[in-house]
Amino acid sequence: MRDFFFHAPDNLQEALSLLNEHGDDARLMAGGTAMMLMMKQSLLEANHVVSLHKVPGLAYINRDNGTLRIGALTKHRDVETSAEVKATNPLLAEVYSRIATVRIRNVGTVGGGLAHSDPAQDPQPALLALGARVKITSAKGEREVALSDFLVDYYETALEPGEVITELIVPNAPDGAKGVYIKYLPRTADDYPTVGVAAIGVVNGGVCQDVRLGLGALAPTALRATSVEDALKGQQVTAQSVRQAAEAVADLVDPLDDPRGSAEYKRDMSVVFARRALEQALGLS
Amino acid sequence: MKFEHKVTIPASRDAINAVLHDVPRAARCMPGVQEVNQEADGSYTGSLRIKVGPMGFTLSGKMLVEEESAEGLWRLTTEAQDRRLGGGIHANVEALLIEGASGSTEMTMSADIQFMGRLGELGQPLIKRRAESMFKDFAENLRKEVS
Amino acid sequence: MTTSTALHKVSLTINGKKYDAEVPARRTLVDMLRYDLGLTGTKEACSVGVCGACTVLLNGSIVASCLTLAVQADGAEITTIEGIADGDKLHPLQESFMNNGGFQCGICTPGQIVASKALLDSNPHPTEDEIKEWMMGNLCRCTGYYQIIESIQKAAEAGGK
Repeated sequence: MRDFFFHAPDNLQEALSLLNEHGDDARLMAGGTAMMLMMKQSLLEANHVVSLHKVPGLAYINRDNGTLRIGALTKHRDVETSAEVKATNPLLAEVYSRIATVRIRNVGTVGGGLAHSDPAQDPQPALLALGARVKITSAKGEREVALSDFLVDYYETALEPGEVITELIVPNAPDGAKGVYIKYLPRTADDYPTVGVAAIGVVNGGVCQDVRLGLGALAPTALRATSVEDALKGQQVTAQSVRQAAEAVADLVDPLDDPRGSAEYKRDMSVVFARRALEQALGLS
Repeated sequence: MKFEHKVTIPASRDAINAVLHDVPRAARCMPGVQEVNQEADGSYTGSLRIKVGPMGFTLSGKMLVEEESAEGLWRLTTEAQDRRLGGGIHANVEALLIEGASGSTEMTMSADIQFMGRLGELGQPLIKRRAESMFKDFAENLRKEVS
Repeated sequence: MTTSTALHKVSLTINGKKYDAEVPARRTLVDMLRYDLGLTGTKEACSVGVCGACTVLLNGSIVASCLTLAVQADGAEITTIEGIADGDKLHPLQESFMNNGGFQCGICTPGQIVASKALLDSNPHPTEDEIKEWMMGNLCRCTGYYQIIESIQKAAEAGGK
């Protein structure tokens, strides 16, 4: 790795002013696992690394009126193991538990993971299904962005220069919902998925009252399959209707050819795993 | 990696060829081109910057524009390396120009790009997507430049 | 673009002992342990955080020291393989790995021991599935993994802390 200037400010204002001072030459580091990988492979060069690891007050998990507010520097492992999260939003704990290995989850942060924005990351499909939002702070103040608007493209987010994610806001799943995350991993257990599907379903008297479907590793960003959701909402839940709805997923996805699977294979698998996830979330299996 | 893109330009084939053969002018239509220099042997060297999120790839190398054939075909071959990452590309780009009766020309651009070395391993899936949109931008910028 | 040649002062408590060093920003923790401090028990194999050979405990949690900058670890408490035994007395895991064929060439073993110690510290009686899930990130090319799992199970049965 080329050498760089390492800054470890102990407050957020200083971190932001370092970003503004060095502009394009500076990059924020949270846990640093993804960033270290990119730096070691010469894919990323930052002359000024501004580490957030000494900035206090950004690691927390708070319940707030039907949502969970999670500080951006909260480790993945803390979301995974939090009694608060398991009680109020078990799907959230589940998706964070599926990231890589425990040694990565001990270091990686919620905010850092979102800023990285790899299309195959585990939390995003469920976060989209839950309608999550991101709070962004800069020297000019704060703004909140829906996660669906925050994820722009491969490794690209809505973060402007001089901005930092400070909080992830996750609404609870609706009452009586069943949530499931299927991580399809034909290679090794610690990998990103070839296809990742998160589904949430509420069924009453055999009728689908609510259904949410998030798709990962199938497009430049994670997607929410709202057209598939609309086709199922208000309808009787049958194996046939779920199968048909899942088939529509093939037209929504836009996967890449990569070592985890060809675009064609991923497209085929998106239908299979969307169907299985919906079947589980809607109580058919 | 191969792809094709068609665009209709409200200009004559000759007008478009004039731009395509003026390599620095044509190169400026490609987003990310940083410099284009003419060499003594008639070839050109230049560099192209491609950004994917926080990652940047800089391809530097040679470009050669081949003679126009009677069928209205323009061909550019380029070999460029990413010195920092290692590896590079070898690309053939062709533009077929068919002038219509109304004085506008249909341009079909096709590209055949081979990735080599580390750029291929690490960059190909990402650059592939970007490359298609870059060529669309190139065709669009060329259209604006000519008309 | 200027390259920094600035050195950063890093203070670490490793296996209960205080260490100070001056390192460039780009020095990884594993390199600092091995080259600056002579603690060569921790190994680096893949360099990309997937094989687990570089596992150390940092403030009580296992991390990949090849993906950690030394400057990030400033002020931290670290336990490496050198700190697992209590003087001459081996940790039950170390005894168990020896008695149950938990290693052959030994290159992955420091990481296996540190990671499995972290497991038994947080979950003294893990199921086989829990062992497999926790130890997922510790690769071994020699043993085929069964003896590693068995070593951990036997250590847990013996009251493995």
